[in-house]
Amino acid sequence: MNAGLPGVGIGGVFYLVLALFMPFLELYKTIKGESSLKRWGIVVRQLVMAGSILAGMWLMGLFLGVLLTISGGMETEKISELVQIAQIGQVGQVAEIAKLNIFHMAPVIMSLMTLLVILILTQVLVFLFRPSVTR
Amino acid sequence: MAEDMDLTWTFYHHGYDVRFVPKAMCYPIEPHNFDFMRKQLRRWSHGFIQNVVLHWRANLRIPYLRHLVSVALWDAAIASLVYLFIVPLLVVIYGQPLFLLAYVIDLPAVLIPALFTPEGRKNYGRVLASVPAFFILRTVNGYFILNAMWEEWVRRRPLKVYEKGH
Repeated sequence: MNAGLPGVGIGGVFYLVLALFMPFLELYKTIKGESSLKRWGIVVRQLVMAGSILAGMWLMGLFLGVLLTISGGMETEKISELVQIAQIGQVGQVAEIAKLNIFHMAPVIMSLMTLLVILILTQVLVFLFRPSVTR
Repeated sequence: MAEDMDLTWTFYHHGYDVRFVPKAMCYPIEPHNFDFMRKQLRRWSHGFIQNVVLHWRANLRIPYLRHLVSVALWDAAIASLVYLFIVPLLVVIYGQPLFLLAYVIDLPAVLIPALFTPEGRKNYGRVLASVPAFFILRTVNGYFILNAMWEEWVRRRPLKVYEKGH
């Protein structure tokens, strides 16, 4: 996400992919002797942030799933039953609530595919215009 | 327009790296009414498009910059269409106001990084208070970015007058 520019989430997905890739890159640098504790601190911070975003999106999906189900006038009895289960905290049955989550893998995969297409198109531009210097 | 973006990208083109310093503090004077904000958003949108036009070839040389700008450009265009046309159309066609939740569905992705940022500065209250404004501004900004694309790319009428927004 950039200051002054709207975004629909592809930039966010790009950030998540990079943040989740950081430990692997840092591990490689550690093996090569190019890493430090300070660098690992940044990696952990970004990982925590990316993990929090994913968890937050999952919770948001759950909230919206419940909201959509209630507003649709369907299964209201089931919802109240599930909320009761959640309050009691019966493991296993609580998983039933998770089925209401609208945060499924399909939109994530779609965003990743879109991101991949953008990155491939950018590489195609590089191939077509062959910039003289590459850093 | 957007001389800070122009400067940053030019640094990269000349072999320098630009780094984010999270502890740096800045207290900008924000626009106090919509007229000033309109000028600012117009400048930012036109500035981004002008910088893309001006630097796209040079940006292709730098992997970090080319990927970041490509994603930002795509995201800005698609997001604007989604927020200004697709979501309202879905609401009207299906008569279902719940589609409006699409405007805030990414709340965690916006809120969580914002809460990480003021670490040590203890200004969580201000950050939280400004979050609703972000969603309004993002949608309003959709108009300005589409307008900038239309004016700069289609009508070939670049913004040349720097109207001070703040």
